[in-house]
Amino acid sequence: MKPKPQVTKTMEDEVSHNQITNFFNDAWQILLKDLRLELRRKYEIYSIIILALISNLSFGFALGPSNPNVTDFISGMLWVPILFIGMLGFTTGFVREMDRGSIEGLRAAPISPQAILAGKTVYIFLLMCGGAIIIIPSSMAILNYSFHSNGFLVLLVVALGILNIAVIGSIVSALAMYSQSRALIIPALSMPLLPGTIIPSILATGKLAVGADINSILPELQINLAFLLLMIATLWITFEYVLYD
Amino acid sequence: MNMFYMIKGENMKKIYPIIIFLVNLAALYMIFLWAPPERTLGDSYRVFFIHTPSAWISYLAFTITFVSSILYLKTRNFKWDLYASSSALLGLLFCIIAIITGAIWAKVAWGLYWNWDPRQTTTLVLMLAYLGYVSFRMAINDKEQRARVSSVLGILAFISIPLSYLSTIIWATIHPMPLIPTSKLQIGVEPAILQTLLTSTFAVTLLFLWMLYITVEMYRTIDTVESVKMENVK
Repeated sequence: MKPKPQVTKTMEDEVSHNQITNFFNDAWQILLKDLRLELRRKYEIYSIIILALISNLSFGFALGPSNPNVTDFISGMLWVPILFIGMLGFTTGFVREMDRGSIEGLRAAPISPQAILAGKTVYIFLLMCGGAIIIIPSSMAILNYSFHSNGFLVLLVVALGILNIAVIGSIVSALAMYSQSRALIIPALSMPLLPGTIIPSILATGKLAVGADINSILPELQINLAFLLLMIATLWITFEYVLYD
Repeated sequence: MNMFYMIKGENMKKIYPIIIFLVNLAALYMIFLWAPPERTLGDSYRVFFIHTPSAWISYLAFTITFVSSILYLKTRNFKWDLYASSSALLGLLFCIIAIITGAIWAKVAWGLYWNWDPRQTTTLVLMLAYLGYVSFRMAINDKEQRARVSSVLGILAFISIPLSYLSTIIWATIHPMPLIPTSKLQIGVEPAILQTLLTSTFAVTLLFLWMLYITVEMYRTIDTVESVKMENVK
């Protein structure tokens, strides 16, 4: 007798493997397209650098040199400019595709809507990570402080927070592309969704600034992770309704 | 299926407001005259009988928006979009009432209108989420596009609700715990206070259902008028 179930199983595995590979390839292509566009428009990269440095300098002037209480404010001072850089990414996500008319190309392409969303999310994530790479070390230099906790924990909290913001940003950008006043509606839509991740990220960063260990920031990490999974699951199901008529 | 099958028919449309009026009158009597003063807060605690039902109604309204949004995406029937948008608008109104009455209570009980308590903060976030939802709907002209995209937002905004509710458990809070006992350790409330709370909640729920019915009918009429206008233009 032929081992029929085994053959079917193998074929199913192969199809599933191909689907996963295609998903990542498609998302990668969307990401590359957006990164190429971003690199062509160098002034946006310069804007991010200037925004990061100006925010740090402003906080530096406000607090004065070597302020002993700097660790009390540092979490807010880091997350505000990171969030504003994210806002730049939100407007250049799907809104740009709509303005240029290239959204029709994306809709017609044989790419799953989830892969498009994943590509856009990673693009915003990288843009914000680039901002964070400038903001965090420059603020440490300008404001004369250092994190008393493990550097890996700081990276983990910042990366998880940024990933959450990027997920929210990509869906907000996709929703806002249909509205008349796109630039105005983006903050109105994103601000209510952001506190779910911004509050735990700020609390965890504040704790890390004064030398907390992983156990102290575990509740914030759990909330951030739960929020991320909840958002991804919701968007996985609903995003095709946003993209297609 | 019509959500308001109970109030269908001309007679019921006349009787239902009278029932709501009487139940609300009874609730007001219980709130201001029947319920005894609280031992530490005195009479000022009575705002709690407006605050708690308003908060409950806002959760109920946003849940209706969430369910109607899913049903719209599934069926593409505009009836569900009307329920979703009307319920969100009313939920927003009750959420604002809950925040204001909560702040008044906080001033008496804790000394400050705004304490940055997690429950206070997340309820504010909830209000902002649905304010964004209502504003977003206003910014899209196309009826089908508005219904489809705002349904997705209606689902996303609902994520804020468990966050708001769980905030008192996850973070340290000064907000009172739920009145329904969850453990033997929880201190009970006086029966008269609990009865007044349940009556006021019931009264406000009836009022909300009536308001929802009127709002849905109002939006339906606006839709009909607009489609007649469009046909005349063509």
